[in-house]
Amino acid sequence: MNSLAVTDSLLLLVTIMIAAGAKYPPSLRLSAGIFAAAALLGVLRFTDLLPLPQMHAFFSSLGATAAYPLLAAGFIWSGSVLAQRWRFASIFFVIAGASGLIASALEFALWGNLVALLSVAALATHAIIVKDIQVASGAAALLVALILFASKAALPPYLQAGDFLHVFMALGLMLLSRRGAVSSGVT
Amino acid sequence: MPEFVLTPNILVVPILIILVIVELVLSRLMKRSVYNFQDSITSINIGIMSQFVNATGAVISAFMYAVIELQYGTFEWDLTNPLTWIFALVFYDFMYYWVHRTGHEVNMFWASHITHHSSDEFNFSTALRQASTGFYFKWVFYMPLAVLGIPVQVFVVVGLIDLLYQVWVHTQLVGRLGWVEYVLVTPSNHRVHHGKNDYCIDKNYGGVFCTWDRIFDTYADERVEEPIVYGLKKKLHSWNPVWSNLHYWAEMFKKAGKQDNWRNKLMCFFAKPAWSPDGSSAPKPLSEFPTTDDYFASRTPVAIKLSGLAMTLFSAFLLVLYLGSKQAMSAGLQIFCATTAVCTFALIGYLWTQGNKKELQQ
Repeated sequence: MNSLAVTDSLLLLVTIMIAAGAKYPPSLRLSAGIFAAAALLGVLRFTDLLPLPQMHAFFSSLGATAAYPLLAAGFIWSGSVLAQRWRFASIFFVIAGASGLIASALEFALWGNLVALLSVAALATHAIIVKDIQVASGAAALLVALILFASKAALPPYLQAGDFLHVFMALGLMLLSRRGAVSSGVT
Repeated sequence: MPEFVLTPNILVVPILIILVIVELVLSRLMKRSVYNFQDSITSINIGIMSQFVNATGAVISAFMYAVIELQYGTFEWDLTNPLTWIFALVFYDFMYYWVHRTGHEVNMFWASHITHHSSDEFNFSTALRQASTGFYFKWVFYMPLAVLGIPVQVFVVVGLIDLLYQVWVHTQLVGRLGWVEYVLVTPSNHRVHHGKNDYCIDKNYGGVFCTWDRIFDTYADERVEEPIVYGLKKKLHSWNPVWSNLHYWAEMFKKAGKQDNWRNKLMCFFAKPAWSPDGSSAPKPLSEFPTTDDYFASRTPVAIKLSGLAMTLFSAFLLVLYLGSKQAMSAGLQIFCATTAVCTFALIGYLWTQGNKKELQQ
């Protein structure tokens, strides 16, 4: 078993807890559900139990192009129907996912990274503006995760770039979920 | 002159028209009035026009599917194994359920699908009344099949099977089919889908299997004691194939334009079709709509009927020519042909509708 399997298991645990938590808004649960699917496929892949690299790549790409924007939008407009209703969170997810697939078909490889980065940056900016420390720290952790992964940071032979992504994502989502649980009310 | 290639979708055109004629003859023999001449002619013309447009649109769907399958296709499938095809058909139909449900429950997708429901009749010609604008969103729902690695040729074939299966369920001549009603989409449970009676709204979305409706609680049985009224609550009153595709888009943009904030503007596109700014999404009951305004359909002048028939036969002939030779055409030429067809239908459809209205005024 390599380090990626361990850190992906950590991410899986956190995302499943959020996705299954009825106290969280649908936008957060749906985003976490997609991240959980990607993490589960990662665990299966890195433990060699059932390696499905293409499907893992697909869900990771879906996470970047659709789950990150949904997560950010759900916090920025926390009282909106987008954050609070499954129906609108799902529509947003499908449209964002479709745009990711089109970008993928057009071989615009940077799209996923760009969308994820912009979403998290927007979330961090919003949190700073509204002085929400918890969301800001969650967004900062996600930002660190993306930057370390994109820059291929590693601590050989112990940690790979993917490990940083998994650990900081888990941390960021955990921080965000603590804030997500308390926001409610549809406008 | 480009070379003519006989493809399966070309063969489908005369078969469907023959089916309409057979149902018409049978209905006369059974002394049932299930056809209105001009309504059916319009349905067929809408179907022909949609084929001109979707012949290019379907290429986009198949292209997206093929690319995603190539990039992310996870499993290898044995095409000689019948289970591959059965699995693909069942999974396709499951995704079709969601495409169809989205087409009814999200306003901007309903704007496309409404075309199929705009006939006041329910017969085989209604099955041909397909939207020309739906291809832009449907493809995304079938991507899970691509990720599973189901080959594009299997996807196309099961898609065609799913589509063709749905033709025969558009009839009033077949009654309930016993135990079949529990598993498959049948004429009886599809009549409910096309009804505008209150109990019919947002029911029976299945394509081949009605199991999905039973699982997701959208199934309704046909009620013998309450005859089904077909069509839209707010009638189209037009013989124009282009307008039948665009009228709801125009209405939706107009409604959005009237809203004074962005939230409500967006809700006009993404909420349920019956959404109103006061927050309600429940459809208005049928009793609030006039029931005796089918005067438009009953007073069509003979000249319009004859020109409608001529246009249908001529455009069907042109469609067969187009489908057979489009492989040799450039993308630009294909778009030009499709645009010409749409413009012709728009002009003739306008003349038919105006002629009918003039007749009513006289």
